[in-house]
Amino acid sequence: MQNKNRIGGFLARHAILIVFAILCIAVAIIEHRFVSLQNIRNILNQISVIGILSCGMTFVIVSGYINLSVGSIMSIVGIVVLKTVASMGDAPGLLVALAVGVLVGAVTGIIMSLIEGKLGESFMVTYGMQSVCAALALIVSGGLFMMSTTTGVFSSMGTGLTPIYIFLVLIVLCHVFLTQTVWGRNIYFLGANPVAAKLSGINTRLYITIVFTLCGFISALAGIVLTSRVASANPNAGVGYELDAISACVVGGVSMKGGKGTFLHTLKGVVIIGMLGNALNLLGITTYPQMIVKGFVIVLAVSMDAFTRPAPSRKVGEAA
Amino acid sequence: MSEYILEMMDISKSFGSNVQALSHVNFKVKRGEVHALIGENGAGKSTLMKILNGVYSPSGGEYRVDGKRVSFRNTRQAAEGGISFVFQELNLIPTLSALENAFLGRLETDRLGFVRWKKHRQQLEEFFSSIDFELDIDAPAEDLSIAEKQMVEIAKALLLNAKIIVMDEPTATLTQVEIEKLFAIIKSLKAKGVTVVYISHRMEEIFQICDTVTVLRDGRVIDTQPVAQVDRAGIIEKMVGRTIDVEFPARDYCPGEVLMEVADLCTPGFLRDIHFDLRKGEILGIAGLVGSGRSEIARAVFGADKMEKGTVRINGKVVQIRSTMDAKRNSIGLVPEDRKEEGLAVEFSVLRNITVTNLKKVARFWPFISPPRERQLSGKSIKELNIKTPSSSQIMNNLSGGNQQKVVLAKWLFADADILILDEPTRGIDVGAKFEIYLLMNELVKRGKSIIMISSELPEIFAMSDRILVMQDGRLKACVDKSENKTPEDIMQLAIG
Repeated sequence: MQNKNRIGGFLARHAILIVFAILCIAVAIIEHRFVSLQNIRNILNQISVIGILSCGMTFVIVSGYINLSVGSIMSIVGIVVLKTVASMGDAPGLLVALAVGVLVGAVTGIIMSLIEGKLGESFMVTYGMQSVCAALALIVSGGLFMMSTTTGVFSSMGTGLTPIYIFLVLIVLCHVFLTQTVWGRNIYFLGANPVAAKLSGINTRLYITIVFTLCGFISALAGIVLTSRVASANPNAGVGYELDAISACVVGGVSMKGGKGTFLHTLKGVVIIGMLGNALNLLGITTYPQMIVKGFVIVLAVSMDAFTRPAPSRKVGEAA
Repeated sequence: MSEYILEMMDISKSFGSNVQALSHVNFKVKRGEVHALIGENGAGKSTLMKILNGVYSPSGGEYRVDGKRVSFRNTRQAAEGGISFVFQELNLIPTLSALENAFLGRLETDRLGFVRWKKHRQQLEEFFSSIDFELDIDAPAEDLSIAEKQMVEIAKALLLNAKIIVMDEPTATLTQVEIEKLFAIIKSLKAKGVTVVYISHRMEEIFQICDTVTVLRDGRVIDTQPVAQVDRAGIIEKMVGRTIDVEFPARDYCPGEVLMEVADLCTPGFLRDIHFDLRKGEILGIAGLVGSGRSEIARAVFGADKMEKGTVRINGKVVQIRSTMDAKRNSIGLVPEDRKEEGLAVEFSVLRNITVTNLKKVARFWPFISPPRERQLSGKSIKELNIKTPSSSQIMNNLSGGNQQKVVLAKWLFADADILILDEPTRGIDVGAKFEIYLLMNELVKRGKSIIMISSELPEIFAMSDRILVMQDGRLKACVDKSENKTPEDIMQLAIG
């Protein structure tokens, strides 16, 4: 009986990973290219943008919030970086582009901290910011597709293995920041119980602002890498990326309840989401059916998170 | 008809292979009596009641209600079987009105499927007027005071026409006046032939209204006796398994010079012109009814709520307290009323909860936290406060209420707070653990800390405080010195008069 429970518990805890492993083996048998060196490099490149973006999202989710504006931050930053790098040169251009992300993030963070909002408010506030950024991207670009014409630091950011190096360095830095520092600990506490955090003398408003600003900065970085990789920008480039980043976090095991999860979970989720997309591509499955599969993966991940969480001991008064 | 309305016989309950929560418990309740069920936290009271409520099924034994053998599989079946529960933790839906809450889950409808609100309204109004309690039954539950919420819970249970009503610490959040009202209700229930199982930590209540008392300890029934044949010390001894000579430890009266002065404290729309001072090494009690402004003083001085006006001086110097960060910087710490919601991150470890107020201390190379130093320093706190936990990495949720409270205290000592504001520090904590908290408070003032203690328990605040501030309707009614030889009844008079 107990043994059965233990096996059941193991299966439930690692359900996502197990399903995923079976899927990989199946795909590898059907499509040999899946395990080729070329394809692995491909996967790495594909996951790096989602990976970078998921780092920013992880901060927000661990703090107990969500950020739906990251995709459109990528779009606007993509447009801006092409324009500024062409007109001002590499370094100033990149700085301005990053500053755009920081600004959007900081505005979101300040609003969130002023209204002392919770998860629900962050949905609406960042949804609003998403709309603003998407519209700005269209206005600034005039709705047009733009080609990159420069060579230099900016254009090298998306070529070869650079994106994956950027992702790996970023995730290591983020991991150290969140798990080893005083600031990271306060972010966890904020996510676990914002009232107790405030009553412990933590500057919760400051931390809410920091978290959204960081997320804005990292989203801008993701936008720059994406723009450099495809050597072009269009005002819709970032559409849907927020969902991929959120799925990566949740699939990896960062809890939507806040206060739980590390960047190791994020890494796991990013790899799973990235490889899933790649496998579906190789199998010749088109975009729309792919969206259905991804949608189910998110639902499965959230359900698993709920099932495997130790049930709170029922109070006698609750209806059984 | 059997003499007993409830007979639980030879009940055992184990969780897993090594946790024996109840072993061969015999619990019999006579028809129409008020039967006290007491024991320390973890003695098995709630497990026994969960079995009666259908939440758990017993591993062994059986129970009868009204002579009939029953076996409830959920709370609904228990309710249909004539057993209602009034819990310490309130289960009202915050956004629904008192009326909606009282009839939640059993609304009557007419032929067309519309709810008979008129009838329900009348039933509830009748109930409240029968007990002489005023309440706006259309107010959403979140706007009600804790005491009012409790009354709605009681109404909910009573309107079911239950044969047996189990009350779990019903007075924990009530004021003296409300307690008197509750007792009047219990007496009228008894007159109607309703049986009450009364769970409480407060000894004086048992002697006031109960007929029989059953003491549980370590999952066994230690004794069942008529209340008339036992005394307070005897019951406590049976509960804890050893003799406790005094409930409140004595300390030498030795407050020093004035440490903090609060003047003209006002908060938007509530507190008016609060003046008081706090001396070094003093325990200053704040008494008053629930809602009289006790907690609001604490929150304002701690910077959690905005002050409209007022100055705070510490060591003679004016300090600005606009946020909880300001309070912490000025060595003020708050142990809030609701430790689980406001004092702790219950899913985090003991260690993380202790060090959160002063991470600088554990960051050897700032801003990097040094895990060995964190373990060492939190271990020291655990030892110092005698917190019972297997290790510093234990999750808070697994600790008993008393030990959780000590962790909240520990975190402010970790921040080197000199002024500790304790809001209901012993709520929901059993006798043994309460005594430890009192000892700890005495030890702290001896070491030069100053304590502001807010409490609804008059005997506690009376015995522990050097001076007592009495609050009423947001105003400071009186400041009573220990040397004035007042009685707890005098304090009550001041609070309601």
